[in-house]
Amino acid sequence: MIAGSVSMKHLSPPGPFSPSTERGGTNADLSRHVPNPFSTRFVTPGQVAWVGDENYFDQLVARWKALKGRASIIGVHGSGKSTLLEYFVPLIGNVIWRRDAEGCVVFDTLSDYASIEDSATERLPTLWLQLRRTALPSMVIPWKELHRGRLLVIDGYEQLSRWQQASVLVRTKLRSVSLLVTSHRRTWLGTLCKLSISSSTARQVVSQLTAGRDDFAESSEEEIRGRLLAHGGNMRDVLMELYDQYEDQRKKMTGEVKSNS
Amino acid sequence: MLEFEYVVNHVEPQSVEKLEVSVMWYTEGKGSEDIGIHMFQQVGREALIAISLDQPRRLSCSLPASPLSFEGRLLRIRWCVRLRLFLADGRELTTDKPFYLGHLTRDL
Repeated sequence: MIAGSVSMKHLSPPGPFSPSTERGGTNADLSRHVPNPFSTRFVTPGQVAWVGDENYFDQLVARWKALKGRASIIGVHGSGKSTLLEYFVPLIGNVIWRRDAEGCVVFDTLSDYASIEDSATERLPTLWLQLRRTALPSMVIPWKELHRGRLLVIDGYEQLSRWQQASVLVRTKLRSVSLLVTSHRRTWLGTLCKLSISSSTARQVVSQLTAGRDDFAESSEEEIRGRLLAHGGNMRDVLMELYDQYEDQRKKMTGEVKSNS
Repeated sequence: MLEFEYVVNHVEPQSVEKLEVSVMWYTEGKGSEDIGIHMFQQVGREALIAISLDQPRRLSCSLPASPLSFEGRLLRIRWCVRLRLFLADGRELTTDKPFYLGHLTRDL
């Protein structure tokens, strides 16, 4: 438990192009500006705690070993593939390079590994790529860094053409590079797991995001089930819909407050 | 011009690794997010031991003309003063003090 506390206060008066704690109203107005619980920063993969059996990851690691470090995670859009990667990859790999879906290299310690014997480390030095349709995969896979004993993670493997997929398989195999991919459909690799979101899991995710919030009417499991069905099991779309619902609710409440005053 | 002060209570300076104060903005909403650090100050352990943490510390900085605070449905731009305290045992204590920059522009 953290015992300490920090506090701050503004000293300068509000005014045009200066900081203001007011919005043409009161300070209390600002304190009510709680973020939408379904904003990107809360729902992005890795922010939501994994919901499920606590032994699940032990089973996954065992299966990963049985598949000799070359496998795929299968599931439709928004079924939790990227979220699973966030929790699973650290168990088998040590990320030394990562490129996000926007094409930015967000993590790079490749040079620190230049002199290290990779096989000496228990977790595989890992290069992690998130692909989008706009990406040029053949240009972004850092082949010169992929050598024996390393792990390549490709999130969005289905973005590659059949030819590119085959090329990745062959080149990583020839270099003895482990390979973990996520895809919407079966690949030539063994399946590590097939993901789908149940209404119960979806409900738990929503509860997690709205925990301690009294400004959002909690959805029933029945309602969540309906939303999931409407979006073909895509939890990401369900969360986007809930984002809109929250904004509608907020707007309505703000309108009510205004009309009361 | 932004002027503010902060106080840290019930924390021994020896138990603090470092303290960071930043004046920053960030976006919040449905899409990908952005962040900008306007002012950053870091105080190390030695400096913290030399000062009294529970005494208010006053800081100021001039603010830029943009980005102005914005309240939209899909996107919000929020400004805040963020104080982060890194404790020697690895824990982290963070607090944000939000403020609006400029006359708030709202989505209609």
